[in-house]
Amino acid sequence: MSLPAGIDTSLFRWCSSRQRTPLCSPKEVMAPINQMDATVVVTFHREGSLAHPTLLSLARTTLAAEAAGYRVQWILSLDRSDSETRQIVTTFPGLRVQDRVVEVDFGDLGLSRNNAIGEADGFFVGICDGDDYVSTNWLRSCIDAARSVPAPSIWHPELIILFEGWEAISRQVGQDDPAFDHRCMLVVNPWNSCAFAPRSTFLELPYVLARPGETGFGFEDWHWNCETVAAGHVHRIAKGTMHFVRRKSAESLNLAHVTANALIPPSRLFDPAAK
Amino acid sequence: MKGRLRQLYLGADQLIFSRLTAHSQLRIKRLILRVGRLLFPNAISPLLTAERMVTQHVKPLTLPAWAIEEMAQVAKAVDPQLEPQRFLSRRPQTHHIPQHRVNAGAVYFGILSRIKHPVDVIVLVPTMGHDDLAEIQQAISCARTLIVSTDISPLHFDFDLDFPDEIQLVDAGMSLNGILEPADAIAVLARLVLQLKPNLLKVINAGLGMETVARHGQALAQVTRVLVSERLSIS
Repeated sequence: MSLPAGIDTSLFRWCSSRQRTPLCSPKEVMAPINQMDATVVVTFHREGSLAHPTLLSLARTTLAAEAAGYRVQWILSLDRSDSETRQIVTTFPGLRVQDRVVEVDFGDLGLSRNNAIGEADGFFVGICDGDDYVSTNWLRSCIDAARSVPAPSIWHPELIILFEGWEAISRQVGQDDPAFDHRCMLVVNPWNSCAFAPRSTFLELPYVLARPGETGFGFEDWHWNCETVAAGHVHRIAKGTMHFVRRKSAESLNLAHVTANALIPPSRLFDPAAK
Repeated sequence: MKGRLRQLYLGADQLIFSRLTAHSQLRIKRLILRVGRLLFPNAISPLLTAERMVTQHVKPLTLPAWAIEEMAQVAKAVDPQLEPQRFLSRRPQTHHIPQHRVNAGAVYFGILSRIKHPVDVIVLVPTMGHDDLAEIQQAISCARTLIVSTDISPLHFDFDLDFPDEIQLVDAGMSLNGILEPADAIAVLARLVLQLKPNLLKVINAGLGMETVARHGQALAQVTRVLVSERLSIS
């Protein structure tokens, strides 16, 4: 594969070296293979060549977390993917022995994530989409932050950079901010899909099916945020981290949910018992 | 006097209040409203709420140095289109997540707090003074019905009709129409139906109710049957 001009090749060298020399010795690999600090779940659909830079971004944040002593696993979920996406993901040179590529036929982002989380060995799970990037410090900062608080928390990046179809800068505010009022969640989704939390949180509160064309229900991330708030989890901001979100001008899943006038399904956050 | 005070408020809002957080603004503007209504009881619309007065001084977000440095690294290693100088030269917008929009949620939980029993049927009517209400009283045979009015009633309604305890009345016209964004009022009604999950939703000549069904009918149909009529046709 030829590299675009300006691309730093050190990452490729790292990826290549990882294949030849595993992170751990063979003995270590055999024994505690299921004891990962964090699993990054990335869902792919038909990203094509865009999957490659996403994986490069994942490699960067993994490298930084491993340098801090954390053990990281990737679960890459291919949901009804095309051959180009499958080829790029399955042959990515940065895949290690603990990483897994799973092929599924859900046609649904939430169900695909749930399945991948079920496969995860990490104590924590971070969620990414197949055409977004994260900052180098994202994984390390999230693990550090998550280990620093005793209460069940969910961590989101501080800054969001929207690029391509719509270029914008956004800053997320955590639930621990005094200005935050959960009643806004009736009409506003305060946090985007890039979430980091103990795996048990995702198992306790899985994503829901969201096919607005079939049911009128959508926005699985928004619904998941509502459910987790209702269950007492606190959404916080991992300071100094960034999420780069590709805003496609067409074929965006988010756009499909908006144009279908989708609503989030019933949520415990708005239950009569919650009044 | 009134005009001067209004000008003073608008100036202060532009220069000071709009730069505060929504939370701080709400506290200050609730106080201003209370004082204003004491001083000028008839001059301030009853529809005006502190939530509606929250404004946002859209101060463009600037990237801190650490973010610019990270973008430069991402551009080198991952995607050249994120090169920070090029990105910033394209004048990216500031996207503020509108977390100050709590009004709809406040109205929703306010309505919910007035509902005492589970409901089998939700009836949306324009006003509680609506002529059809007496007919509804006659026609409702099933228990556990919630009647919600969605428009502002021009007349005071004394709720003197002889409804059984299972029939709950909620006059939501004032609060729903006090929501700044019409789409948010629709979201309140839709959420009410989705969460209460009645067996049947009846919309009787209620414009907001009809808009709710037109916009979110597919989702509502997942939890209930929906009947819409311009006139009372319950049976």
